[in-house]
Amino acid sequence: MRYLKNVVLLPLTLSSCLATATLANAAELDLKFAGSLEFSDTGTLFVGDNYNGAIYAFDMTAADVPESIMPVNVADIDVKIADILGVSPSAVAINDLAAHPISGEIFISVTRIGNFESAPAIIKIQQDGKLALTDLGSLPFQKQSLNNFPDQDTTFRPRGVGKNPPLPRDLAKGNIKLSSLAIMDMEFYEGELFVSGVAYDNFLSSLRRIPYPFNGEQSAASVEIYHLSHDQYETRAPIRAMSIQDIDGKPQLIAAYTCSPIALIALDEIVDGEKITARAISDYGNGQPLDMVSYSMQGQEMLFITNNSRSPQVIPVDSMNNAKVYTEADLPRGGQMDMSPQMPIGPVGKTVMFDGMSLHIDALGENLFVSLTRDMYSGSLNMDSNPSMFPNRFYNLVAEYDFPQYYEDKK
Amino acid sequence: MSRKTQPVPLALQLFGCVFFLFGSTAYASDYQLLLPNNDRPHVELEFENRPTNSHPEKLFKLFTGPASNCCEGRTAMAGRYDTHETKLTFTPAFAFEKAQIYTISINYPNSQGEVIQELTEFFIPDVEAFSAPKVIGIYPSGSAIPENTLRFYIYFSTPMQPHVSSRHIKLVDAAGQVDDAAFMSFKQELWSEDRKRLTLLMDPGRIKRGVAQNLSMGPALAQSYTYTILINDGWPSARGEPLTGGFGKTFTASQALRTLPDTKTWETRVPGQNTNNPLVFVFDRPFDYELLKSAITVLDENGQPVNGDISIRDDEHTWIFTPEYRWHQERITVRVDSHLEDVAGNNFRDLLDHAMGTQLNSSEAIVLELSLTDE
Repeated sequence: MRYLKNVVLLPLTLSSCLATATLANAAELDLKFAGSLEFSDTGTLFVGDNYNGAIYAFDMTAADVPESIMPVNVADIDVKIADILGVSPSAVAINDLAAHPISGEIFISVTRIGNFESAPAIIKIQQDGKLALTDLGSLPFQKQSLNNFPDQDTTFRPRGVGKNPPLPRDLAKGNIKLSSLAIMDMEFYEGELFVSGVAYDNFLSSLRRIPYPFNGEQSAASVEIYHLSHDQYETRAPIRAMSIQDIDGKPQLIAAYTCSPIALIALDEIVDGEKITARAISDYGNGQPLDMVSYSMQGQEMLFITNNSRSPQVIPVDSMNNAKVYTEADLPRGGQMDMSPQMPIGPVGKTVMFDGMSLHIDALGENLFVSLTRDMYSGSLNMDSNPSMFPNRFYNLVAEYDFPQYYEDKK
Repeated sequence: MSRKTQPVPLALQLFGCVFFLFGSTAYASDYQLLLPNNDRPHVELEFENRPTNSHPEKLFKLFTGPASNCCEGRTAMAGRYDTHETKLTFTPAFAFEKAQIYTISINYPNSQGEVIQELTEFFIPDVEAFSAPKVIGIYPSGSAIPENTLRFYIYFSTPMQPHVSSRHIKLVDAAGQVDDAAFMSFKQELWSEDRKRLTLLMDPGRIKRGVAQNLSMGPALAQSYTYTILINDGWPSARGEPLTGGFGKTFTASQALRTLPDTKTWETRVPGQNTNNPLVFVFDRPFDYELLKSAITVLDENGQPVNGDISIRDDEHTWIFTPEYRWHQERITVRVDSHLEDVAGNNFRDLLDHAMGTQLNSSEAIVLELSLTDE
């Protein structure tokens, strides 16, 4: 199989290179924003640029292959990134993290906020823990501009809680452009890049699929979902995090939304110009999903979903087979809060322990997670690698096992 | 858990590398360090002998932040090293930010061959913010202005400290007598958003005839007399730098403006079609400098604004509009907002100082239809 695949890919690559020369028509790298990151299986790094409305693919397939991928830990990583960029830590915005599947190097996309302009940067953390600015200009790359990119002027409408007017802290949201949601998450699967975000000038939640190597082809379909806890059909709020897995015998995209339904979309439904209704199969109880990492634990395929408001959720992929699809007929009318008898609902797996808050997380090698973790007590931002079966450090925990007497008593 | 490498003693590492750098010259002699500035975007080290460019980062590195916090455990800035003849330069991957402190760490061997670390701190000053503020203009700009002038604009070179204007601005007559009550005093001063323009109002109570201050104190400006608006040294900028050089604007008060402005009195110079010539209006009186920038708009046959540059000349008596592209229109419409005021605060609807019960003109704009001459 693998041999065959390679033979087929070669002429494809050649023809797409030719096509790109006329397509992209830009040898100069013009990246304006480094947002969402995703690696292909062989080490091509996709970077979402919400300012240019484009995805860049940097060829990093020539990376060194270590004997084995080791954990990498970097304390105060935001300070170190700021040091490299020549600004204070408050002038660095961290956008995403992705681990190279072969080299075990970790890449972090950031925005360097200067006095007068901001600039994109991608920081590489080597296996030995050393940080370096990635020289993107030295890498072969392809650029794919996105069709139906939303307008870049419209901003969020600030809201207050319930009927209360928005407070000053809420009003700040009114300065943020909706186009910042245009490239939310990317997933590479069998020669295609899947991209979630908002598209079109009316900001519809969309899924794009783009063959890679880029050849100018792309499809975009809008996605509607029955939002269980809001008790309404929603067409705008985008898919925040996603993964592609075989469910019910075919490849399906598992989509996690804010507050917090999980829905399935079969890949063959993502057809250009179509409107898809995602099948909502669960709601694990509020919060905004950050990342969805697939991994295997004790021979079972799992999804690890981080969230800005709660501990991570671990969901066995197998539990999503033959899942009931929820519609408005299945729930009482009105919004369902965490404490309603119906919530959580569907195959939601389990909430697991995680010390601190993961800003971004990815799988590192077979058995590790690498996370940018905000420490609860110091507020510091650290890059931690921990076993995926128990992604914690004991630093902030005090338990019976921390007493020397405990071990003496056991003798 | 993490992989470890055997650390090489620091001194050894540095010595080895410096030796390598200088090749046959065993030890470095003096170097000259040139710091970055507004014209030089890089750090430059100049040697007596040509350095090689092998491992220049071991000879010197750049760090973000002050020397007091350097350099143990810190990560060096990203950038590029270049060798030119006897110079070694470091250009940061992202330009040095103004007012951000950086530290250069240089490791070089002295005459005994010991490696010495030398730390040099620098920052590139923000030239505008750190230079002493100056007054760069006052409007109305004429040497003769109506005695009932309502409003002055004072322009500064840099953002200024608010709430101290009354201490620093004075109206003085020809005999040197200061009039402390000439300008309106508010709790809130009238600054532009960037705090580089102050709007100064003459007290309208002294301009409007027959109201309290007008009766008790008389008008601040009287026709044929000469006055000076004085701005003293010492007014601090937003960054605390005091104003130097002072500023004085001397003018003679001319006859009061007590009639409504009227576009029929304007001299109009209509440009030729297919030319870049400007559209010019010459007024019978000086108008408000700031309002002139936005109150007159030029529209094409479809009612769309024509893009172009506006300039205001001849002591606010002349308005000049130069189009971005050649005039292709046969006809244009000029819309004059009826709220446009002359320097005495009279607009097309109403005199500032009108009698009670005067009928107001209620139109929003005066519309002038102009045919472009065929050239």
